[in-house]
Amino acid sequence: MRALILMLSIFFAVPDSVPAFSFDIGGIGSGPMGGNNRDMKRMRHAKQIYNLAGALVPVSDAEEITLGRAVMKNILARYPLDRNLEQTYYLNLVGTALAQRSDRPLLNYHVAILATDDVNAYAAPGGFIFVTRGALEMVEDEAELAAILAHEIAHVTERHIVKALQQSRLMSVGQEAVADAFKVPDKFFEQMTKFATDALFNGLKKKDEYAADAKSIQYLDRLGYDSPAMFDVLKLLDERRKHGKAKVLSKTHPKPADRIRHLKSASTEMAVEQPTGIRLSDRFKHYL
Amino acid sequence: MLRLSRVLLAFSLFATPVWAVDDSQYYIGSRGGADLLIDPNIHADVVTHLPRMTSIRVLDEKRTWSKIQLMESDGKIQGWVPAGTVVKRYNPETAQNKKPAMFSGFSSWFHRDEVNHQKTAVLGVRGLEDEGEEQAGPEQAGKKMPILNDAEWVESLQVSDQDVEVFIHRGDLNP
Repeated sequence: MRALILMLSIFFAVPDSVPAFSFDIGGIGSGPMGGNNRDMKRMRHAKQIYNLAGALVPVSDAEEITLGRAVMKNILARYPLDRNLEQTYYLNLVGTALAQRSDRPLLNYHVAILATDDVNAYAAPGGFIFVTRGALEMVEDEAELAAILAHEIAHVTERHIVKALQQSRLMSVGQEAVADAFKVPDKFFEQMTKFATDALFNGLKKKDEYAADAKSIQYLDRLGYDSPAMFDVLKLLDERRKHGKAKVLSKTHPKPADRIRHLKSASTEMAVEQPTGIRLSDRFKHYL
Repeated sequence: MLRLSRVLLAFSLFATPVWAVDDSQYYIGSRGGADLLIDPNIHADVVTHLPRMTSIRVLDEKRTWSKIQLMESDGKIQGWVPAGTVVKRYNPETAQNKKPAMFSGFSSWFHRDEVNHQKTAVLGVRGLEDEGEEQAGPEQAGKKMPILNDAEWVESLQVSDQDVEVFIHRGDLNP
């Protein structure tokens, strides 16, 4: 009996390395037994998803940083860097404090300013975060700045770009070829970099943006910032968008109103603590 | 019965001997505390809820999870918490050894300026800051840095644990 239980336990134990979505097989089994064409299609679809998930090529932290470094160069090729050391240092303090409370606290995060008036922020894989001068001018206190950084940090902690890459056709070359490309960057590595850069500039999936918003509330709350600051940022963003000052972001992100709606429902599910009211507007105004 | 056996099996698979631990002091830093889970999985059974500032020992780390042990339980109570809820207790000696090169000479100027700013704000009078001491500003600090291209410059941006601790403390945020 014990042996049977042990065997069953091993059979049902879910290995940690298998991504959760690999078991998302689209409600298979919910239809009538015996199956019709629709059920067969769903079966095939489910199998495809399972196979795809089963064949996901792993990307280590070190490989992710290598990719992030290459993506960062593409960001810097598009936008000039603002080397204001005092403000950059301030941003790195806020970013690092948040990152230490994030779900990937051991990664080294770097925050830099892009010299453009367009309101936006980017997070390359591996912890390279960029905030535009326009975004810094939009926010009114440190909690709102932290909300922007927390959103970007969440894209890194949730590995949104890496996951998109892992699920792309590019990865069909197999694990060895991918690993080789990271060791000695070649044409295939360039393709991966292009994919990641395009994902960054053209926009991630809407669900990833909503997930990053929800995570940002958690990160703000863990550090003690006033978590409603995230809602305030989205409202400010909506205003800027209406005045045409967030052109790129408007194309790549869901509408702020939709994000607010999703965030409201997510924050009720998360049972976030009562807001702290800590906004630190004096410190913010002193440095920015 | 099956569920119990799965839990026991999973627990035994992840068990780490006590002698493998890092003896550094950690605590639960998130404001709402953290649920101690039997497995590194949000759906796993909750062993207990750990309030904020609970002293713990970190036994293992697995991606976004930390396996911990309660200091007060003599190693009897173990489990997993989200890594982001675990905070290393600030140790000035070890933190000072991690001074990053990029902001060397700049962080003290930065914090000094912040103190002066607070003092001015409290007194409500400008010009009462300490005078006479020449302080390294961003320009001076910048001169000390090697010439880096943009990508190298971004990658060199790192702040020390000590500076972050001071920053959090001064903002009255969660330690």
